[in-house]
Amino acid sequence: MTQYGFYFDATRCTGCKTCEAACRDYHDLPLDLTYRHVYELEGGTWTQAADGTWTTDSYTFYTSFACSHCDDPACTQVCPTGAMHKGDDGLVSVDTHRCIGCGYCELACPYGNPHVDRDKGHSVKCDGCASRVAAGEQPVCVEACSMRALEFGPVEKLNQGDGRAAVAPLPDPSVTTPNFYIKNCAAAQPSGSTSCVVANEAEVK
Amino acid sequence: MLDTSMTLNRRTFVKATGALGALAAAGGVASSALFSGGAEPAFADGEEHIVWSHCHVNCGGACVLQCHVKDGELAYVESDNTGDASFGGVQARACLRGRSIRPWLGSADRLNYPMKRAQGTKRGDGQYERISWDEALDTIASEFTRIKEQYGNEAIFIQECSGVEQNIMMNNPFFRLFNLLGGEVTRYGSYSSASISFGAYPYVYGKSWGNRSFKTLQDDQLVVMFGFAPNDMRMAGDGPGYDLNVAREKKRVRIINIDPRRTETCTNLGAEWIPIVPGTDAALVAGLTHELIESNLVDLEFLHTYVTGFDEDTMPEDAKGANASYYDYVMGTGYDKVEKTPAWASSITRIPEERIKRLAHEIGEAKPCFICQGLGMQRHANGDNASRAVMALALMVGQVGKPGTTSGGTIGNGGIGLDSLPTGTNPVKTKIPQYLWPEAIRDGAKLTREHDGVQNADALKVGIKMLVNYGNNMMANQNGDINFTTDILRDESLCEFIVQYDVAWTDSCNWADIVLPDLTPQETYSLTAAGETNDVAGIRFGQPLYEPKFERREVYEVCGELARRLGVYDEYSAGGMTREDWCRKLYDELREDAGDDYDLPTYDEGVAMGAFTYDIEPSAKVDPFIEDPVANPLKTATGKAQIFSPEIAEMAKTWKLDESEKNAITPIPVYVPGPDSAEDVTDEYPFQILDYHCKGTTHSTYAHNPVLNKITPFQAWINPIDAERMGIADLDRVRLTSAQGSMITQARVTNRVIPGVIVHPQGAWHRAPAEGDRTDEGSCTNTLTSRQRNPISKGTGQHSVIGTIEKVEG
Amino acid sequence: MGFGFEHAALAVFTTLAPMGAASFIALAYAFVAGKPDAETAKRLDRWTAVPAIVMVAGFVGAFMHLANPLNAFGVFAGVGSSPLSNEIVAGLVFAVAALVYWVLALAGKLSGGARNGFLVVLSVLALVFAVFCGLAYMMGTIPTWNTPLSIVQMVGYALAGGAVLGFCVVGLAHAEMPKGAPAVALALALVGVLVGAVGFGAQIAGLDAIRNIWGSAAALVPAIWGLFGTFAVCGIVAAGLTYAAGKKAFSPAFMIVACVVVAIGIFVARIGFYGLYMGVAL
Repeated sequence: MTQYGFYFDATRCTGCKTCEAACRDYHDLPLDLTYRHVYELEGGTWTQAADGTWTTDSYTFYTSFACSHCDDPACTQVCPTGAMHKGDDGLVSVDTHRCIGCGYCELACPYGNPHVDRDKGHSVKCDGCASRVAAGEQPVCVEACSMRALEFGPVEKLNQGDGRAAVAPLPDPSVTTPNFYIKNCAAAQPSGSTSCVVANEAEVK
Repeated sequence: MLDTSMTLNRRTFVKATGALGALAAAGGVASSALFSGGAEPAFADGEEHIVWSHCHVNCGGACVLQCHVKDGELAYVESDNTGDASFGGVQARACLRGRSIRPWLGSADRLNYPMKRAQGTKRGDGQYERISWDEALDTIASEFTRIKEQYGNEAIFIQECSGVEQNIMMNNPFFRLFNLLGGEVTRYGSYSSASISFGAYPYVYGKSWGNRSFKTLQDDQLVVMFGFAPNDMRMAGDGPGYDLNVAREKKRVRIINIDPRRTETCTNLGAEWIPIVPGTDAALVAGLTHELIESNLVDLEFLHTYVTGFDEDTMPEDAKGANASYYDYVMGTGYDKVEKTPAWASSITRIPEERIKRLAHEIGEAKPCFICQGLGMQRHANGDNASRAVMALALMVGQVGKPGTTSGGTIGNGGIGLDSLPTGTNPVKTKIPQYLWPEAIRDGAKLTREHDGVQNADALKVGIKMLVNYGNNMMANQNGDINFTTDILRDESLCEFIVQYDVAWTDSCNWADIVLPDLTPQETYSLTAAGETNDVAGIRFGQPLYEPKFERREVYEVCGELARRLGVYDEYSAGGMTREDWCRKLYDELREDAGDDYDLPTYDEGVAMGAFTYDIEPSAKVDPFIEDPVANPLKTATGKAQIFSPEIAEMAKTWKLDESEKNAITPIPVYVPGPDSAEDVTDEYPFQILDYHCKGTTHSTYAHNPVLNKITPFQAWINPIDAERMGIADLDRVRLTSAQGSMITQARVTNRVIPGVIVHPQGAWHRAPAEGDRTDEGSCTNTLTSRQRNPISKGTGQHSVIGTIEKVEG
Repeated sequence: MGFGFEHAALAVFTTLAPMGAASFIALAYAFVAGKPDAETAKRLDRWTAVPAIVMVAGFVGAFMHLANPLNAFGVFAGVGSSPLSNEIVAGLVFAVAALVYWVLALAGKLSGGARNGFLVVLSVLALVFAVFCGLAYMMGTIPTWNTPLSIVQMVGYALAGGAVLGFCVVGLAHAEMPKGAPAVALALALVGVLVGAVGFGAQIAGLDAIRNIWGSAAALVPAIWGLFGTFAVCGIVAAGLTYAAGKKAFSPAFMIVACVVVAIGIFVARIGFYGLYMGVAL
């Protein structure tokens, strides 16, 4: 079985969110839904010296992620019908004819990916742009990234950077064994860090 | 001509896009016949077709939009997936703006029909009624004739067209038409870069000189940027932000960014951010210079060979003996007799003294050192001097005109020089500074050369009586101090006739007498070079995605209809040429001029390819002036690069400045706080408020796109220390207030801004009543900005603003 | 964030379905200890419609929560792996058993010993169902729910709600009970309230230790102790009402009020529980 996955070179990302815009456009998503998220995180403090000058140890970094098409997906485990499943390509997708829209996948996924679309009557999620991939193309987010910070492919051929994503705001990779690899940027904080906060809540919520 | 090395030649390009060409052919519709086929909608065959166009909004780029069109509607956008996809390769990948064009094209904000202001209402009341194109065009033609006869052609003004800046058409049809009918008063300078272009470059280098792109950076070198954010606003896959990113990784370039705001170059990319108080860059340069002098890090040999005015030895003869050099200014023996120590600079910039000293050593010891500036800094009231000061810094360490350097000004770029629609000759020679058009309406003949920078005349003859706004949102959004501006527009005795011609109903439409609905560049034929700030060469062959909807019409045809009414159609249309004919003709001329330099495809090949991009390897060679300054002098008064400008010394004697401007014309780039600076904050207005160019919009274009609003919201950034003091939490609804006005927005509490400063993206669409307190619910920062202008360039100083923030309910 | 009202349909389900199921524990007592005559047994069997309706209402709530209920039969595919499938199956096992019991009982085909045995089995199945209702929320990626306390509180709510509802049936059927019945009813209800309170309270007390990128779980539902208190008060009041009513042959009027009060208490606790949803990361 092939296992496809994403790679994110965080050292190249400028937080422009073109990946997300392309995803929204290609999949024609409503405003409150996206299959690719760009979280902006920040931490640190400011200090004023006696002479009035400012210094800061603050930092900001972005993490762009979609579905991690995990080896051990939380969403498929809790799915009561098997609608949420891993395909032969390792991509996790929804069998819309079987989905009952119970929302357990949405609750369980630590990557914020599946979402119950009540109008459609089933869960929707990032499927790695499976139809594009089948046609020999890249997922639209990957092709959109002007900084070439995203890659997609069979994991054995994929850049693996610093390994499976272990960076805030994402869970420790031991939780679901994500097929999402990251090259970390200098400012990045590890999974579970409590020293940074989400800086762009209005954008990602 | 530039040194070019083509990574892709035409034949491989044609091959690479052959599949797409075949797809278009399979559709059975020749795109050139799109509009001639009567009422049958184009491509309405249930199949998906690819139509190539480009983004087009004056960000500086012109990214490829590969539009998937189905049943006469845009289904989704792909961008440039031709060429080299690897990191370092060139693909003009559109940023989030271009990728989000679908909701923009189909927006409820779009203008669909000609409208006129309802009888009995005033400008700003927002009451309009639909009229026919005939009525609209008849009215414009007759008003043009009336105003021309009553006041003369100097009373007619065509505003800039930022919203459609990147193509061969722009607002040229209006110039072409009016120039056939006696002309119009014109403008110089721009909102973007008036101070650097008209207040700095001419006096330092004679003209824009020595600017090089990030592509010329050398291995392991240092880049120092003053207020420059290429990764925030020029995000394309062939743009300068990309070039910098590539150099950072592949050439291990170290980047320092001096800015009040942590830009995207200082997030994941890891560039160092030195936070600075806005408007104090010239003070920083003075403090750096002091340390450079003390540490023997100024390049005296370079200064004595190439530069005027660093020290007494290099002063012009007639300016000697007056302690007027920059050295005297810095060391406390000239100008204000204050020594500009790093500690002095520290007290103004709020950068720790130690960091200023270390920065001086970093700059002085790095060879080469790429010192550049963005355009935000020069849009402050003292921007002329600030811009010159950073150029002076580059000169003092000898880091101009050599590999791995730029001018201390902006970065440079190369590309294909594509001509735009010829506009003929304007019989009216008088020019006004771009920024002063509202004053030209209000004050007319009071605008003079010495006070207001009027060119080619001592003063205006008459105020602007007819205003044509095509493809801009200047009247009620993008001009400094909107309340001031609309007060002038509301008075119909001043400007008697206003046309607004655009794609969407912005608030500026509410101040016009006639409103016309335009096609977007994606809805008509378009031709453009790859972009004016991108260091690539290329051409975009834009084809209409679908037939015009509603009664939208493009500008060249509309001006042709006016030309018929005014009796100059044959001359205007050069015998009946269409917009597409002009695209073809201008392209053919370019192709002929280029000869073998670019291996350009034919027009029809280009249309089939959609986009055509060459990577170029810009020259990093030593500039001729540096090689031999005597044989290749600069076009300055002294033939050298000038820290002291004799031209400005003369202006300082003759030009008249308002006392209230608190500004100064100084031959050396001294630090002048200027009005509404950090020194002017009060208990009532304790903050400097700064607007900036954000990721989601270019100026006000796309600013009402709900997708972009969602992923890049308009928010006021405030430091946590200030937020706590003001009782403001993240995402609170807040009011920003300055002496000029008041606007509502959302707070974002973030470490990304220096304390004492609030930053907010510019471009949001103004939404306020025309009377009363005029609180803007649309978060348009020009409700707050000022009418400050720069003393030499008369360019905008609108970013010098003090004000306050408060939480509001709701 | 705030309350878990977006999960109101699920809260309806997890309030009513276990309550209806566990009422068979009280019914078991009524038959085993009350030794009803044939007429009384018939009345009890008729009024057994009430817990059946309560349970069906709970399942309707669950159904309403689905985006596509038409595919619901597919849930059996996940038995064994999906905690939701397991929960539904546990509920259906109980429901089928209860239906068989009820049909046989109404048909007069259940003799005393068989009936009592059946009721004991149903009591056990009801508790098993409650356990699976709790298990359904134990997911490794949801640390606030991923605790045995999720099970404990569900068992407590089932016992408390079931006791009150079961003795309500007794009252409605005018079934004569032994003298000790009010004390048994009180004890059963109080044990339920206590177990529920321990489960919910201990879960709340542990929230401080749980964080994700948005902050501490303790901040998820600022009023969480208020919701806890509402449950505890409702539970005790309902138990007291049941005891008082028990002195008057489980007066139906009192018992209906007690049922409503206990259901409100459990529903409030469930809303609080759903409000405590917090992913391990986002």
